[in-house]
Amino acid sequence: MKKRETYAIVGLAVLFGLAAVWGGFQLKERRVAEAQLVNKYNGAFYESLQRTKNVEALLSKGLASGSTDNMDNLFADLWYNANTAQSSLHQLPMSHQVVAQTSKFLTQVGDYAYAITKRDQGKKLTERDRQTMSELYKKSQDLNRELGGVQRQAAAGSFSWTEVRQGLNRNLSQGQLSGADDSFRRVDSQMQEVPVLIYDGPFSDHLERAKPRGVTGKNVTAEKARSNARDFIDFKGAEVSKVNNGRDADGRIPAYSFEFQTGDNTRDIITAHVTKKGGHMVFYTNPRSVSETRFSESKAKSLAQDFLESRGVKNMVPTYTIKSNNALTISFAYEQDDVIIYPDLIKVMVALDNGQILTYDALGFLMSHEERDLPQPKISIDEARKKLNPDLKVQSERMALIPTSGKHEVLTYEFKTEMRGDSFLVYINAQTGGEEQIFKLLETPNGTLVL
Amino acid sequence: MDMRKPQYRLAITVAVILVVSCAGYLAWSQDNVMVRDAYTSENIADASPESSSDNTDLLARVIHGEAGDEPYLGKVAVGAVMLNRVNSASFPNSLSGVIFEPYAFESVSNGLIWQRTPSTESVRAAGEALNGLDPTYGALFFWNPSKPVSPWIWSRQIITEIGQHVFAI
Repeated sequence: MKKRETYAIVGLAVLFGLAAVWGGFQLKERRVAEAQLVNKYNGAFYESLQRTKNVEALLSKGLASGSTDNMDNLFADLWYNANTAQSSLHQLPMSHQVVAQTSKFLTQVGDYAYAITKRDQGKKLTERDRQTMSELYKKSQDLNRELGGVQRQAAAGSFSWTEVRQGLNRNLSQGQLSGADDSFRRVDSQMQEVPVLIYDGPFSDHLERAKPRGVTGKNVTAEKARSNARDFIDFKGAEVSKVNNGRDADGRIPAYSFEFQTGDNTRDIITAHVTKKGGHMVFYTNPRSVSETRFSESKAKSLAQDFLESRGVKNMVPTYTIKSNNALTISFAYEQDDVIIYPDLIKVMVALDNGQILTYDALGFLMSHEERDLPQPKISIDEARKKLNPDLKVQSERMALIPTSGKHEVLTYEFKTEMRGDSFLVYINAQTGGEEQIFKLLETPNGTLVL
Repeated sequence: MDMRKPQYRLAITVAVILVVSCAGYLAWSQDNVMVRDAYTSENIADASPESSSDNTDLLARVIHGEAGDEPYLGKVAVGAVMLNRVNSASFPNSLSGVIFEPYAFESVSNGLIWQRTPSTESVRAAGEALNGLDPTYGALFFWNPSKPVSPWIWSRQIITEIGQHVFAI
């Protein structure tokens, strides 16, 4: 009996010993993993600090520079440093609300600098640009002063990134902020009053305020909107058995939402959004899965074209197509006076098993469409063709209105060209003769990718 | 002897519990190691046999992780939010930057996106979102109101509700 007891105790002791050793290894591994994580966070933190300091110095140099060539170099540097600072900032374990404004400032500084170099090649800055730049410079000084405070706290060990991380988990539901979050929030509140920046770039403030231009007509009732949707959707002969009202959308384009059930199919609910003003279809989508391809792409294209015409959507020409999961998505662009209007896009997805229109998406069209006063081109197509790189062989050409990165519209000549087996679309500005844009076309089995 | 027997049994029970929990923990930590290596080319191929774009695969994974049980339009909407963030100045300016921002999305933080293979529906939703379909009209946030969220999020302007999610700008 005594022996058994001893065995048991020794056995237990051995097991506890093993558990302790194993636990020790686990602890060590955890520390290594945590150190790696903290190193990554610190790397991003110091990167962001350094790049933000560079932004301040570059803005100041830009204000001091008298040479336009050097200004272009400084702005290219500014764009790079601001972008790196912004992307490093987002690698830190912070809540969105404490970095949002700082991030926006950094994005816009870089984007603005880039837009100016693009606009002004070889030209001097306007007085207004100088004014904006000196405001941005002041803001960058504020930012660096505040970030310096966070850096000192970090150096003094008053917070660690793992604490921030745990704090974020713990306090997320209560909405409280940890120590570092709190310091960063102070930084961010300094960045609230940044000058409004309007320029030709993807992050310019004017884009957030864009109003839909294509939503015309009088307000319609939900009943009218529902019957519009019912007439519009391609049910392919299936009986609509149930219509539910979804939650209205209260965004840039206020819209009613409807859910259509056909027959006893409760899985593939077709959702449609119809504008409250005018009763236009914004989009509808049918999630039915398509298991085989029986229609050719050209057949699908003409079906989509017929669908648009039968729904009263006129003057749309097919541009690009992409095939996936036995369905073909075709981008249609509006055509006015033989000019392709690329901002006015409608996408149509056709099921390749029976030709049903699965998705109709006119959000882009409704945001930008209007009958435009197209300017008279200042240069002819022959003059434009001479501006092309002589190595390019022109295959086709036409006029096109294209959006710039800030969604302004430029009248251009579009040349589809070929060089050493690669295809390119080149856009020559019809007023200035400058090369506005160039796309590489990549032919894949599923369609043409535009790079 | 009768007194000792239960002790003997106790010792064995404790030992068995220890061994089982050690094994369990080891298996679990093994799982975690696997998670890190799960993003192999075979998995991508499984996810979307026809997709040629890396973005579709990544987006489909996050859609599946965040909205796997949502209706189709709810999946498209979550994908659209990711893409709206790319185009917003206050968020990272690339899709991978948005998706891997620390603590932005729960299914990325806990590794779920690498454990589940996206359904065909999630893959199609990713494709449609990349094609520009946006049922949220530019929303930058979404959340499930029945789960605990930061009260801050409720200060955002709500655009719509799709499935279990609220979408806001």
